[in-house]
Amino acid sequence: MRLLRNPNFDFLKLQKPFVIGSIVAALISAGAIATKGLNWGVDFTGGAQIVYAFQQTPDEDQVRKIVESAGVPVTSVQRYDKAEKNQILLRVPMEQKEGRDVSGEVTPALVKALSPAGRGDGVFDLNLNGADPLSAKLQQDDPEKMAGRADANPAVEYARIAQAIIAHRSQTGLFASLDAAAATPGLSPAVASWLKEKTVAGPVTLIGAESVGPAVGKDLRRKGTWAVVLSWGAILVYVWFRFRSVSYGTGVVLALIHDAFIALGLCAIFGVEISLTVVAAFLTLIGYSANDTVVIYDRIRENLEKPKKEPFALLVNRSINETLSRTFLTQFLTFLTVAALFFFGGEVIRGFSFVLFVGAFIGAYSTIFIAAPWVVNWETWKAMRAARHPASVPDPGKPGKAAAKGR
Amino acid sequence: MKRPTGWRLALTLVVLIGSIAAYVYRGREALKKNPTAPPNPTVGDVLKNGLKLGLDLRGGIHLVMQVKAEDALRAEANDAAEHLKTEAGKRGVTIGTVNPATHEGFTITMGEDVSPAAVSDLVKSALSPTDWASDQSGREMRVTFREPARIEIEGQALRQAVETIRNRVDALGVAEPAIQPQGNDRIVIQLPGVDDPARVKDIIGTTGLLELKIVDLKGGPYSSPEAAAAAYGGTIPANLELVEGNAEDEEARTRTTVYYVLERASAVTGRDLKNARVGQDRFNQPAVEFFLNAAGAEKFGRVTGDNVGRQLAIVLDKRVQSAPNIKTQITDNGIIEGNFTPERADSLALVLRSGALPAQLVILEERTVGPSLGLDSIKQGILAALVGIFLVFIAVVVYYNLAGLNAVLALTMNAIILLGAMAWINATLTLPGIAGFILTIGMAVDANVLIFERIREELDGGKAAKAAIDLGFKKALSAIVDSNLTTIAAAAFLFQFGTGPVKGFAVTLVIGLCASMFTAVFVSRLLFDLLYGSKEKVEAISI
Repeated sequence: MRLLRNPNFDFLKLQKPFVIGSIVAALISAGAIATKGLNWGVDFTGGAQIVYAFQQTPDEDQVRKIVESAGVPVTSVQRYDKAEKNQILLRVPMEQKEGRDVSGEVTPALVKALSPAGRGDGVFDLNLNGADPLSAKLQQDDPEKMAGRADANPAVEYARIAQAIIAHRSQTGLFASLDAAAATPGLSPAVASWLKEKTVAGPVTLIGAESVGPAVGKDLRRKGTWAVVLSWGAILVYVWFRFRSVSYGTGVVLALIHDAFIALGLCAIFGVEISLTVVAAFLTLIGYSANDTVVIYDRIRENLEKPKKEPFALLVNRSINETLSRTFLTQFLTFLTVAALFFFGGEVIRGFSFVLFVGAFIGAYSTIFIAAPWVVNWETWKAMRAARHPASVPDPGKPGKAAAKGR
Repeated sequence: MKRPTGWRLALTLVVLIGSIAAYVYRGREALKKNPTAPPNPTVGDVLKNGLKLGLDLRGGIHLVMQVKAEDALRAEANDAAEHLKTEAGKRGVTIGTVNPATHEGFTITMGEDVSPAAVSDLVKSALSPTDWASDQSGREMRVTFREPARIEIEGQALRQAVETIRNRVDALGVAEPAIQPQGNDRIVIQLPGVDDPARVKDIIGTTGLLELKIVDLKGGPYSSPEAAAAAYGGTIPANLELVEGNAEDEEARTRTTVYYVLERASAVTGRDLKNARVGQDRFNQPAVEFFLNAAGAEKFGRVTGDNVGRQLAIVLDKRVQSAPNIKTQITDNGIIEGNFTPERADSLALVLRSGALPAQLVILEERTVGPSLGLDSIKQGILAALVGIFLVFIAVVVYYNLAGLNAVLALTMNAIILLGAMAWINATLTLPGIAGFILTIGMAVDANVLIFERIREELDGGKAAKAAIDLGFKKALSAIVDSNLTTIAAAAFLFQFGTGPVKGFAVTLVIGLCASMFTAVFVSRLLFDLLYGSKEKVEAISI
């Protein structure tokens, strides 16, 4: 199969409308960032983000009331992940005082408010405790009547049973009922009935919690910004060095800034939360988009070595066309993997997948319509200036000659 | 032109087998270390255990805690002040009032009858001049830490906190914990596989500072701080302190906060503790019994003997748990009541046994991943990886036919090298790492695409099949190297920037890109040569 056999598009002629398009896109991005703002995650703002799973379909307003009456301020309460998982994402603003254990305060309050009246303080909640306390409790009550028997080691046996029960719970997040707990594969009837008698399956369980103090948040913001800026710098220097012309170095970085800015604008428009992994996605996008640009630059460099005389602009256009089928195919293949991530990778890396998803398109676009024309304009301008001042550059007739010397 | 394939085939096989061996070796090693692993592991078990899973996949807790070294400094200053008072008594020097210590040191208010020179001499001889500085202004002598001493105490507090946390984590039986100091005052704690984060956090974060203090005669309890202050005519004297606590009434206990006024100096602290265990209180509720060592018992005996009939406050982490009356002299044991659940009493006994933290710890950063979330992430990550790779394979074969199959083999080998290398360097697989794995496949295929497109170009240009393959590989090389190195440059910053999961992603990406240069350029070329190399003339290649 072969698409795009010997394409011959005049990309540089399209330069102007696309540059205008990019500027408009950048303005829209800036507008979105300015008006809607970026949805910074707890990694950067500080504060806490807690996900709970409930037995019953949770009611956001009720959850908010419970949490607030426990003395914990709430930024937002929203449903999380697939509806049938009954999960809630709770955001708590940054505390002035560091070190408050927010999930430690909220969990008991939720359990208390959502449990049926009459549940005592001392009951053993299967949805809150781990295998260790469960094993200790089993050992204490000894439903299997193992104590004193020579052929059994209660500590080991009960630890194994407790681990099996908790592993079974992990499959679903939390036990919907005690029957679900008793249905753990391989459980003896004695332990199953002990579970029903001596434990409860509480209404809620903690799925995950992230809490970041103001000091760490500030630190991460600074580090994240520096990582992005320094990676631009490193790419600038590398490309400058490899292609022996500042026009290439600046062209690639201009394209990268363009990509990052528009992707950021899209994040603002779609309300994508900027977390650590999203910043990682931005850095990946930078690497990926630079990769794409370098391939075209490489072809320009190669074509410059050939003795064939043609204006630099035409040569660049030819280089884009020659690599066009590669650009499309690689783009398509990357898109396939990113799409798989986006649709199957789950809620946790949704933001990460989103940035790469949109970034893959923007990256290819900027290579053709930003990075390549930039080099043409720069080198043409340099040639024109050299023509006006013949003394400063010895060989004005060949735009881009500086680049050719790189090999 | 015939290219020798022998050594290249050998090298490829060595790398392939080496990668698989490294992975299997790590898998078996991990199974051996895991006591709950099945005794006769299947191939599947080994494959599941080849890579170390990050906290985000295994579930667990990542905590960054800050040691509030002020507490340790204050305790040290307090000791010094006490020592100074004792020395003054021994030598018969009048020094005036020693004010409560702070984290900077302490001050002495000298009355008219005190000779500042004598106090200054006493400070210089009783306290180490390398650790303490003193300066006098009017009737006040300030005794403060010198910089090196302060740094030493802070370092000591950090080391001791790490040690204490390690003891507690060991007592909990967490497998493969990582507890490391970071910078001057931080501790990074990573506990994989923890299934009840609340309890673990509680055990790590509880300071566990037990203090036994005598309640002042007018010490309350009061219902509010204002009421307490009013009892002392507005301000509480410097030798006393106001401490929150539980009400003594069984019903109201732990639910109502009351305020006690206690003598500031502790009769006994947790440092004099020998053991602690779960017991029962007067109301048959779970409580924690503690036992003092010989030195503690002596002090405790003296203080309780002197104060029969008064109240003794049992203060845990700056909160009065209970304040029973001292009926007779007590020497070496006591009980902490507080309406605890059995689990809480158990945790508290563990905390007291493992020793108090030298200072309060505050949580700067917490990332808790419950076991079900980790399990979900693994499932979704693997599904996304399989779907992504499958789609890429199909697309490449459809587009390039036999050459596409070549790329599929190269990519498969790339994936195997990536897994083997990650296992070998003990890299941790995280969820972003899985994403990195998928992306790497998507980006690695680019090298194949560059080469194949180039071969097609050369064929279009009228080159013979074998020459086209030759030229295609040769000419695509610079683009492959340059484009991959730029990506690696960005990934290097990613590594430097990231915390655990993001670092895992960067590692995957870099190894994957390096492997792709090998598989796409070297292995793929070898496959072409194996296919076409032996023929004198190749009419057409399937690309």
